[in-house]
Amino acid sequence: MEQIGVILLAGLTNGSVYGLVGLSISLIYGTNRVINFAQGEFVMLGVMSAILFMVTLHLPTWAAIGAILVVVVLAALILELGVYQPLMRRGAAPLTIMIGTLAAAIIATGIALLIWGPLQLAVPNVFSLQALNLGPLMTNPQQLAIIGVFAGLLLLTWYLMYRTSFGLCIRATGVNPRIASLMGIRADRVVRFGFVFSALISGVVGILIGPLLGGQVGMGVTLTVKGFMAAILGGLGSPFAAAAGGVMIAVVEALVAGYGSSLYAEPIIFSLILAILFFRPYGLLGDFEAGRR
Amino acid sequence: MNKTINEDPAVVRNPSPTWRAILLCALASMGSAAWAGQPLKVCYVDDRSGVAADTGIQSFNGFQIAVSEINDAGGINGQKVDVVSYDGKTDPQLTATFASRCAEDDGALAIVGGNPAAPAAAMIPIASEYEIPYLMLSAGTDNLTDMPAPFHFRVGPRNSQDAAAIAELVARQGFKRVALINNSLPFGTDSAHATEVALKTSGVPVVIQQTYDINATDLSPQISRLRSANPDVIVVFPYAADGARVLRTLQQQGMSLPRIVARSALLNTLRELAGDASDGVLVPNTVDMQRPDVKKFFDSYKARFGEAQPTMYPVLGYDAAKMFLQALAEPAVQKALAANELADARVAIRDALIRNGNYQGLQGHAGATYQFGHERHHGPPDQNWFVFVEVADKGKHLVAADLATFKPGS
Repeated sequence: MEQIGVILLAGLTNGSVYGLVGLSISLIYGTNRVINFAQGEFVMLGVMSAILFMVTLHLPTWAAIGAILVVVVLAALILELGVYQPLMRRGAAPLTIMIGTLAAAIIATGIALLIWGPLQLAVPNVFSLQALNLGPLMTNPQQLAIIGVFAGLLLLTWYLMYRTSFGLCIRATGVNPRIASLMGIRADRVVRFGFVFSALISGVVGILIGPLLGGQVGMGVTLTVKGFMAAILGGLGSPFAAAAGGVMIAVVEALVAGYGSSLYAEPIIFSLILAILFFRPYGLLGDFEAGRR
Repeated sequence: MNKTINEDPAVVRNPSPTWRAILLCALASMGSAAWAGQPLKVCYVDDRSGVAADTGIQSFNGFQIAVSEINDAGGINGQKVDVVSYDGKTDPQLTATFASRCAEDDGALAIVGGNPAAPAAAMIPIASEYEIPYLMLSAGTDNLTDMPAPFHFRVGPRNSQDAAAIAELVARQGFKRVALINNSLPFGTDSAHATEVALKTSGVPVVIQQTYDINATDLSPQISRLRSANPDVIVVFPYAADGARVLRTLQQQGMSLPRIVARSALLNTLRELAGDASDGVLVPNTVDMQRPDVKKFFDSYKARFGEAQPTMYPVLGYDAAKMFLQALAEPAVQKALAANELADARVAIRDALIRNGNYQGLQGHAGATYQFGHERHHGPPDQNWFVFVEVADKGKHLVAADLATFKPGS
């Protein structure tokens, strides 16, 4: 019983990270039907900026967090104004824009390499890394913060999407940007918001996972892959489905690790995703979200 | 003035016998002079900006020290040695391309490099194709030298040698219940398997073995299972950042039993990320700081590149360079260079590396030597090579291991 508790807690912690990256990817996809392959690089920028502001410049923690969020927002605006908009104006297909985001990810990694160098670096922790007992389970405040922030950001996203008129604009733009524009919605601003908000979420993820994973300029790729897996499994059009997909993937990973070997986790997860997509091609919760629209 | 002008052309038109002899000698020696006038080129190809950059940078620094030593002493027969370096970024394809460029465009006499296994392996076929000696560094995958490629030599230990050294230490210190934990990458799985085999040979049972994903932020399921198996020693095969997570999770779960971490803990990154959770960990190394020559080398390293902990990586670059430079000075190589025969020079270097196979470098205990031979292109021997170091001062330093306290129950 204790073992299953440990496994579920680990699954929830890791799943919160995958879920937040999946949610970020899905947020952008939901506004413009483009998968942002640079999403993991926003997380990387969050991690590496934490080193810059907390270690190199010795800023107080909250000032550093503010500065990190400014960096990721700037990166999001550069991506949107420098890659997405120019390609859109020239009538590029979504696939071309995706390749554009991939190019931006590679360029961002190269620039980060010039700034921070190639080595894996230690990232200061915002919350304590000391052991914390939760009954028979053991964790630490930094890991609990990941789960808490995941829950908080899910709630915020839900409120924004379903309890505000701006959320209605976001969903309308996601369904059909041309009709949304004809109805007076500034679709370009909605898309910009998607980039900025998803970058903010990724920046927060970076601040939280940096002390646990360490910082390296090439770390964005694997996070993008995990987030993309989460979004595909859950349902690409919905941020909440993508978040749920992330948790599912991590729980399966933890179960395989806990009762078998992590060596087989990824083949099992991909088999599971494939099997689910055979029956539900839009992901587990894709239809549910489509109905909600 | 006019006289002088009139005299000089006469000298050229009608050279005296002495001048004629000098001109003939100069023309005759132009073949060797063409090569002699140029620096001798050697390529260094390794990861210096990817995930294994720590190792590549340190080895390259060691390599440069050896080359500087020879150049400061006047070069080899008056010829300076010129280093052409490439950063392969842990990318096997890119690394292979750079190796081809070394052999084809740069006219290098040998290639040195190869710390991460996949890019290191990618250079082996290039070395065979262009018949250029390739001295590989710490890439530890066993089978890379099992079927020796004619121009490929390994300077660092292979994973099974690390495993045997760890198993021997575990048995010698009296441990009876070993737990293994490794990441799911080839280094982790290969090393854990090799150690399990070596422990079985030593008669020490492995009570549990766990594998984890390097990107998992929470390793509690695996560590919890280790704890439930009640081991008396834990052996970890990680990369840098995930190794730190393993050590921190062990600390969190109150598992303060003896721990051995594979050579990845020689890298600063793992120890910095783990902090005090890494203190007391034992790490297999091939550098014995009791040796005066090793100490002198690290003093030179510190003076030129800043402080470095005594690990195998700078020494691998240094030893590889010294072996190459020793081969370069051999008469057969010099003769081929004098004849401007690059291909012959490369073959002669390969033969010299084998002939000087018992080279004594800075790795291993005092008196231990490499053991290259015709059928053996893997240098490090099985005995007297490994020296265990202990992590101290919140991960900042590597010190001589205190084996008297590294016992079951300690």
